[in-house]
Amino acid sequence: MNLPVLLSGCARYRSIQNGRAADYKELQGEKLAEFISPAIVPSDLAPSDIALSVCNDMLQSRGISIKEVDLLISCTQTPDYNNPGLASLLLAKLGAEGIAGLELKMSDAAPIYACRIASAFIRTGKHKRILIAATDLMSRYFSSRENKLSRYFGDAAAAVIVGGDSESVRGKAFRYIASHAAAIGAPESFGVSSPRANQFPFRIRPEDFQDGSMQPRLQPQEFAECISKEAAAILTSFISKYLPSGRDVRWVVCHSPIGGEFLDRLALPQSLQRANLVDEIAYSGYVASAGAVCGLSRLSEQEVKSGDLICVLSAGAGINFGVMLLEAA
Amino acid sequence: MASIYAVGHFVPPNVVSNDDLSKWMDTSDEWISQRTGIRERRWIRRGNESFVGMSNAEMARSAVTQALASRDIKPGEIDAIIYATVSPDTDSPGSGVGLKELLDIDSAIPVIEVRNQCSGFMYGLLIAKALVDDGLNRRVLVVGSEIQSSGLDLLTEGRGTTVLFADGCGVVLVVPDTDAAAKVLDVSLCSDGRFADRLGVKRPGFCSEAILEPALVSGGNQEIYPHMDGRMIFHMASEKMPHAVRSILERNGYSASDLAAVIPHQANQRIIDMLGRDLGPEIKVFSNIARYGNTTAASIPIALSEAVRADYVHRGDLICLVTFGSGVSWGAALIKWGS
Repeated sequence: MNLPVLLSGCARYRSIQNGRAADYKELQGEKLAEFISPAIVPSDLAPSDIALSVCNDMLQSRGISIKEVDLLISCTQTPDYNNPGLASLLLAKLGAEGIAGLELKMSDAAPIYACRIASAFIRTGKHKRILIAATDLMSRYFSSRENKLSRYFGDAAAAVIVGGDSESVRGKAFRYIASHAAAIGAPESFGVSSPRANQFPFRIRPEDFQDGSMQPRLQPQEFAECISKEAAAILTSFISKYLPSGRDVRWVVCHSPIGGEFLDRLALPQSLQRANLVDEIAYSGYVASAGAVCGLSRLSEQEVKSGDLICVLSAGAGINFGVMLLEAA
Repeated sequence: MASIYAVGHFVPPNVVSNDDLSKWMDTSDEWISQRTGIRERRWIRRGNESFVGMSNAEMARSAVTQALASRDIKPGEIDAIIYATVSPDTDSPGSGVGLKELLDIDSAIPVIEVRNQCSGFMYGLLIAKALVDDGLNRRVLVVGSEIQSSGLDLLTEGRGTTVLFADGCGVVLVVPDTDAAAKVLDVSLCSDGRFADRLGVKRPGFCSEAILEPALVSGGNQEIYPHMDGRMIFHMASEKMPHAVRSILERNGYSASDLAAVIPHQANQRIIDMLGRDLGPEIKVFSNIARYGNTTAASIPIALSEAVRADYVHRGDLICLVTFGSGVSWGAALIKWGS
């Protein structure tokens, strides 16, 4: 099997208040993980500030300069400003002039899409080293903690480098095997209505603040049913196609707004059932785009052995579902 | 090699002239047309009184239908959608999944939401080329679609940007190489975030604790409307766009004399004219800004679709798409046209 793409330097933003490390087992069986104390970033920090912090830490630990990166892919649904996006601001703060900054807004699945796109860029020779920054300050959708969802929506940022298999790497790295990402239906089950461009006469109306249109809405049952019906079939097909014969997945990294029920509904294939689980929701709360990459960063701190297979699973607004198979280098 | 196999576009039927704008704000046809080249634009919005009632994704459906019909392709054959916009129908999940539903695409396919402002379509083309060249997808729809009119200030305070922006949608279908398609030889994009504050919309945003205060909406605060340092943007676009064209030509072993036509982002007729003067009189530079204004991510694919339909590009022509937008970002794509 040709494995030319490597993910390395996984890192996450660490200076977060109010967060607590919950045991993932504690989360099992809880439908919405209401006990979680979400990680909240201080109000004087912008999304691009925490993205900058984690990118700088990661580049330093990885021993490379931003000048050696030739593309930034920013995954966020909570940019500093409506326009331009976070990518431009982050590139400026990193001191990177000239390189392109792609901004993706696909909630939890964005990092898997980003890795898929990055691997295509690497394999076709378009780019050599790509920085993926995944940042979401989901707590800021809520002006108070009264909304039920606000009790577990948190803030996080994480980063990873995607490059060629041949580069020398400090620390843990993961070989990219394959990924699949797709919109699977039920778009009404999770999202944020306002601002909406087709609303007249203004994209945001004063009443949108009262009726919750400015805040995320989640219909967990409908979301979960779509996962059972569509995502489970994709996962089964993906695993049978790409999992090396006779081997089991040792680690599962996952993130979605429905907590532990996500994996229940996915009905994990047998080759994943004995895997160790890492779900960022147990540590930071629901952090959308940042969840999967934060999970990979936590995995880097575990006793991952060379050759271990890792499956990354995420689903968010859209519903966009993503699955990615990696092998510890 | 990834190739453009079909193009299509849609603009709302509602024409808003410069004289119309002068009824709502202190401006004039002479002032607008002299400084921008824009004489009219298409808006979903009809002043403050009514609304055509079309969503971003519905505009895209019309453009996609035109593109697919030109090649007798069914929507079900599309295996990925890349949707570039800064004005989605909902904040999240955006407009791509809405378009997928409107096209009755039942299968689970990738839907990628790109947020790169005026350069969004070019980033979409960059992604599409990589996905097709890597063999991951075979029918990738790249959409650039905007409803800017609902985010503009119709009072005199907003005239600096309101006169510029407009609504519309353009699409291309990217496939593996066929004889009849236009080969996407290269896409090259750059940015410089030091100038991010020179063009954009500040709110709603997540840089502070509250993404938006209700008072900002009811009070007509300028932070929810586009702002622009026109002089700086004009200067940078005039410098970066010709440079992007020359760089991509050089990278691919061509010179300006090999180029048949340039399809630029439609931001300002004076920028388009400067681009033409820089590249030389023998190179055609397409412009439709007088009729459509600046449609942000939609501007290049609308222009490309119109150029194809107007027989502006011919088999074997080397053409260059070139962009400049907020961020700031710029770049170009080099295309060898097919039949």
